[in-house]
Amino acid sequence: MAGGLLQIAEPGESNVKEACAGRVVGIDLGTTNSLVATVRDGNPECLAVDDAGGRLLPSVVEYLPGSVIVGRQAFLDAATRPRDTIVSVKRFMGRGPEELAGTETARRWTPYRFASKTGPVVRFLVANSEREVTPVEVSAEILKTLRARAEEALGGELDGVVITVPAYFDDGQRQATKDAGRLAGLDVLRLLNEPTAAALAYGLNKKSEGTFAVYDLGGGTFDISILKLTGGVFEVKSTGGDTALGGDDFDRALADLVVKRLAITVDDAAEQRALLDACRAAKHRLTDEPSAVVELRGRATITREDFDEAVAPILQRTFAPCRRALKDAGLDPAKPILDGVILVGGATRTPAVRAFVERLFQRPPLADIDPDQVVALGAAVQADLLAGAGPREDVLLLDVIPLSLGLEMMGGVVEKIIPRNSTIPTGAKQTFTTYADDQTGFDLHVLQGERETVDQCRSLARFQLKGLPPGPAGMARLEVTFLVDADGILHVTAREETTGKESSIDVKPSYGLSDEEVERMLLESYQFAESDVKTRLLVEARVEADRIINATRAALASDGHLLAEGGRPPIDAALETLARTRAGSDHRAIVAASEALDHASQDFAQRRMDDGLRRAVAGRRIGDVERKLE
Amino acid sequence: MANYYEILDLDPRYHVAARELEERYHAKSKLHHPDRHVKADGTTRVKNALATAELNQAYRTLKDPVKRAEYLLKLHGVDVGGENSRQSHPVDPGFLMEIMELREELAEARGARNEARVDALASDVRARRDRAMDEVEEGFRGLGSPQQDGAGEAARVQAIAGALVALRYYHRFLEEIEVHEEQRATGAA
Repeated sequence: MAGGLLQIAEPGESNVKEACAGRVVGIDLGTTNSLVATVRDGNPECLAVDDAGGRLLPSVVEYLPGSVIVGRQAFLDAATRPRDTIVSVKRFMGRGPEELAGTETARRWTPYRFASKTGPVVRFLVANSEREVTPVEVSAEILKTLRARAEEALGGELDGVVITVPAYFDDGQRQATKDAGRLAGLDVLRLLNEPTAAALAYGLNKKSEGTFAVYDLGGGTFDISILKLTGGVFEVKSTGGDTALGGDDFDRALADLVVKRLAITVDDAAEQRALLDACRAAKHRLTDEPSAVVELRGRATITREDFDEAVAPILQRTFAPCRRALKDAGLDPAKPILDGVILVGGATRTPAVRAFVERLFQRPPLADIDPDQVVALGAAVQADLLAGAGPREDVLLLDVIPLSLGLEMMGGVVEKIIPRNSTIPTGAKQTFTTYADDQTGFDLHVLQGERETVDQCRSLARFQLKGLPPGPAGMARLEVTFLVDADGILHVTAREETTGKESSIDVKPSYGLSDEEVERMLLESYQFAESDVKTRLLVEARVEADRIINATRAALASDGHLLAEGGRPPIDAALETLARTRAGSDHRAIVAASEALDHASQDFAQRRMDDGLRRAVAGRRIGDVERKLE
Repeated sequence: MANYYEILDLDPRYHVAARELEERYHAKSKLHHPDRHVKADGTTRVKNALATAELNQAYRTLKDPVKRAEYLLKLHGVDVGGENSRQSHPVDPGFLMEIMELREELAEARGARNEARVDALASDVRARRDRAMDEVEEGFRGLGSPQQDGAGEAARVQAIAGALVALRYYHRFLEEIEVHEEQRATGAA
């Protein structure tokens, strides 16, 4: 379910692939550039994403009336069509408009128009204001381009992908990334934290053991992770970071400096873009040269010292997260004992960053794998592992949840239920009792963050638990289970203890997209797609329809006894409609009919999952399970 | 039913060899982790995801000396609260007074930017914490397995409980010290 925090796997119906070790890739969906990699003959390699054989696809999407351009050309057009060309969309993923208001991302150097009545999701107004697109849709365009290139290179449809996310991405940002993958028609096997991916690329190459720090400064995000490698197990000890800090900020700091030097003001969107591009180019030159010139209505000469001074405050902002991560990993921040420091992200090419990292961790960092490629390479390795390929059976990644999860209590206080840096998957159970007579529901507010009050944490979602049996206060006991899956995404289920009845849960994601919105986007993306894509969509819709039809029939045959009274006819009707629609050529209708069947069988699926869970914990009392999950 | 010790195939004792614990944990993770069941059917995946969540909780609890002590004491029938438990345990009023005075002193020292005083308080409370940890360890050493609690062991269990409750106050105090130290380090660097 997109945007929602409730995802319930239907036993026996999900993602069972016949061909296991098929075409799988790793994707680094970066702020500035995106890459796709795969494992060939045991070695990961990045695939070409343009006709010139380049490996980096600029994460830039240009919307023209009737067409979409992704990559190099869009990047080149950004200066002339700044409002219709979205760069660094990753900064907007999973963020609400009011959340962005007041941040650096929104305030400075952002030429975009936003749709006025936006709800909980940011919407860019593009293609001469003819179209509204969300960050998820923009990211999906990038993913679609990577997908097409990879399918071309591998000679067929992809069987699965691993997409990387900053370790510090919160639940909403992860969900948005998954939604983008789904919109792009990808089977997302796993979201993988970028520093972990980098460690995987290094660790497997070097067969290392020991404790490593991964310092990842990308275009728009900063991550620090501390990992321990033992006998093929990559255990993330701690992670920290800042999702709105990166190399882009160097460009802005440089732009500020240039504007000051030249004593000009830059208000025009196109000129802003041009200035930022010129500053980025200057930044790259300063990696190898002592000075660089930026031209904009004049010439400003920037020396490396000027640059180092301008970016020093930005680097300083990475200090506190590093210190905390070292502490959380049980190391002494003043004298950390590490076996290696790995650099990730294009921004770590900057000499000032390397010097800073060396001072911080008291040892020279490793950078022998291209810092732009290392994450995608690691993701490819993980995709390969998940697909069950290769001889690496003993390799396992144990990752953590970056931020604590908590519940709002009386008085706006947040009670933590899952502490940060807990290894995922992880769970918690809480029991609630009614406080009023004949109370039939509860409101729950889930938050993410380390602070103690609601207004200082990030709101994830509000849940309404309904359908409790009416009775005197304190009678009904509601047990709520929180499970954070291996992607770092939260799932919530609730059960009334005295009756054992599953409560219905209404989810209102505080930010992000509802299921209906993702559906609408799927349909819209079809409208804007070209005809060959349409053919493929039709094939895909039919494959998906077949999958659902077969799975439903199989489920009815094996578990029909679990159906509620009168539960069968609506499912049969939806089955028939889907089978009929499938024969036609309207893929949208097929998708809609598939959804309808999915919807009609939701209750049944839920019952089957309960049954599956019951069997999984057979022979134990609920209280025992509760104790173990505590 | 399996408790955390059983999940990791360990005897329910306070002393746990870190290396053995980690090896068991890694071996079990390799069996159940969702990454090993990506292509499995839904029931298998749900079952293994839940098993991994429990395994992770078990490891997190048993590798930490304080959490492990709290958990083991719970197996001995005394719940002193702690993570995810709203249980509270009676506290000696004299001890509470002592803690309150320490906290006031810390607030004053921080207010007056008296770093030497803050450091002195920190090492005082760290020493108290270490003593309490020793008490916990000592207490468990004389204790049988949870099933064989004799009448004479009730006092020992209560002593451990007292030390664990005190530890919680020390930890909270030291957390404040750590916040202070972090501010000092990040501000000065």
